[in-house]
Amino acid sequence: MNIENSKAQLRKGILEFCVLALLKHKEAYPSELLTSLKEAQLIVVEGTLYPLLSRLKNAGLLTYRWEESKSGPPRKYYCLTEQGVTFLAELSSSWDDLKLAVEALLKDNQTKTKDSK
Amino acid sequence: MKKTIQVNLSGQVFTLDEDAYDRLSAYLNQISRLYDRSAGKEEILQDIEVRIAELFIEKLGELRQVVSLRDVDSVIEIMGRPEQFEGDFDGESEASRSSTYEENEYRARRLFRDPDDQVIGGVCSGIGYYFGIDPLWVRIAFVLALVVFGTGVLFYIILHIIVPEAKTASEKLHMRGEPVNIGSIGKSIEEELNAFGERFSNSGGAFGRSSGKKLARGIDRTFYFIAELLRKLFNVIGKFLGALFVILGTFTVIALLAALFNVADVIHFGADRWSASMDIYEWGEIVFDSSEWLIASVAGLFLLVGIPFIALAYSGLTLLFPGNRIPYLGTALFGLWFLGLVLTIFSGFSILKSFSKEETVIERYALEELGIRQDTLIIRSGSDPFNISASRGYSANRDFMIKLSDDKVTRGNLEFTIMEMPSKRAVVEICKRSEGATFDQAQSKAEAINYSFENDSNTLIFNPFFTFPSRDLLRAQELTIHLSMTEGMVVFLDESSKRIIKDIPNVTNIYDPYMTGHYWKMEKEGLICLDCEEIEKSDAQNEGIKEVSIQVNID
Repeated sequence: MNIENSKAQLRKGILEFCVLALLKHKEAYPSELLTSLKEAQLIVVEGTLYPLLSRLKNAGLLTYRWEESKSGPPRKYYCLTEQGVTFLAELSSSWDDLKLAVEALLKDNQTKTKDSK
Repeated sequence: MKKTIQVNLSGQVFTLDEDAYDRLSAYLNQISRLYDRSAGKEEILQDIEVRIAELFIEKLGELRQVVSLRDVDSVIEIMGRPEQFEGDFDGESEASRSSTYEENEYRARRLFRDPDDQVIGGVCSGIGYYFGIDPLWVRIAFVLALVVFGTGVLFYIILHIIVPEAKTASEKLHMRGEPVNIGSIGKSIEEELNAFGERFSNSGGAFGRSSGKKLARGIDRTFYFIAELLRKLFNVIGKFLGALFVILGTFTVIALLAALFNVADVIHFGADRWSASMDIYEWGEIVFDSSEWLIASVAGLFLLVGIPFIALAYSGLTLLFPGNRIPYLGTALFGLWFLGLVLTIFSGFSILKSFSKEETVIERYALEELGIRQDTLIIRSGSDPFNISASRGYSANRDFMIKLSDDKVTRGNLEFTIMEMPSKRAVVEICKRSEGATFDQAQSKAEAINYSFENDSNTLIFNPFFTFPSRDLLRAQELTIHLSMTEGMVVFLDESSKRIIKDIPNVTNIYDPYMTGHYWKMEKEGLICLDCEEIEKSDAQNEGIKEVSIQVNID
């Protein structure tokens, strides 16, 4: 087993969810998203984001508008569509369930380990 | 001094060093190939270019104007290699991470089916990528092959089976690679010199610099393609062979079993119209001393012949379904085969032994005693109830055997000949011959041969068949009839005698079939034809026939 591989698989699974979540309250252009995702260590290489955005947009979950930038090329501001909002809500609830389940599992396991000591 | 190139990245103008440009353009090409023919390609590329432009602006700050190779390398590091984009951290891309992506790409282009651009299975598209040609041409070639030879379909099916689909991003990259053609080879040499020269000089000296290497790689790849194709083709051929083995083996074994259980007639004796066939048991019954020996030899032969075919079918199965081996089956089969060999050898010896001795019993009949006038004698063959084709003459008659009743076997194995020189008395000798395990046996079997001939005052009619008791078994019983003639005696060989005469010596050396229908006189030096007009003519006739047959052959 390769640890990098496993980590990547974990990240990959929740990346879509996180991108949608970042766009929940405000629109953003890719560089902003990248900053947040890199801070959260969800992305290793930036190239990963673009195909993902393209996929989500093609699936009708995202849409974008162009805005001129003073300091560089024009920016693409992404935001959720109505469909995207519903999709995110569903993912959120299943994320909550998953989080609780995993935490409970880990905690349970921990106490057991302590007991056995 | 360095040459620079200006580029436009999403509306922003950048000035790049030439080496930086080459690196960047190779990188973008690679991404473009990864998403080639997928829906969002343009958009993804555009977004990535926007991001690269931003990063360049960041890197350059306000002081620098030209983007260097180092800037491009660091941007590529931030953006990541295309095979990392989709998070395909499979073993392969992991392994290739250590080498540069360019190196990886050039070395390991492989044939895949393209799932993104498929009409049927993406075979043509994959081949197009492999050789860097538009898949349309490959498709046209396949359609032409279908129209012209009809082989396109089969070839396509085979390719579809043996060529895997490109599923992960790294597989797609392997599939796409750089097209192999003269232009790209030239371009790659330049690229290589510019872009990888540094790395190569660090790691391997002149390793990457030779321009011939690129060409060699192109040739390499073509050979690799052929080799890969052949290897997979052999796999497919292996499956075909496997299926063939299974079918062949199974059918042969079934046929053998059918023969064993009397489903099919297996041995035919002689006759054309008379279906004088005997199944293997009937035949065995008149050859073998006991039913035990019969069973032993039939079983032995079956094992000896059948086991290899069972093994063949089994090996076909293992070719078809590798890995599913039945333990000890090989040993068991060999054991059975060996048993068959032993049984066959023993029953073979037993049979040989029962044919080891021979005896001949001779009955003599003087023609005077038979009441035959001795001036002109006519030799005829008796009637043939079995309608053996007369045109096949002597040999057809000789091969004939049939068991008409339980206790009697009828054989056609007899011959009539005339002694070469005149003798003092005119005599017919019936020589009955048989083989057996001992001389006594052979003699009693010879004596048991039942044969009769008829005659009137000037004609001898020889039955073309004799019989022997079934209980005597088939022990090479045969009958020879010798006619001894006195000097001056004349014999007429009737056409019907064709089926029984064999090797009648005569002074003109005329071949048996031409002797019938003529009068022959026994002189001091042997038989002479009285009415063969001219011997030369009959010779000429012979030659004429030969010539005709030669001409036919030439035609």
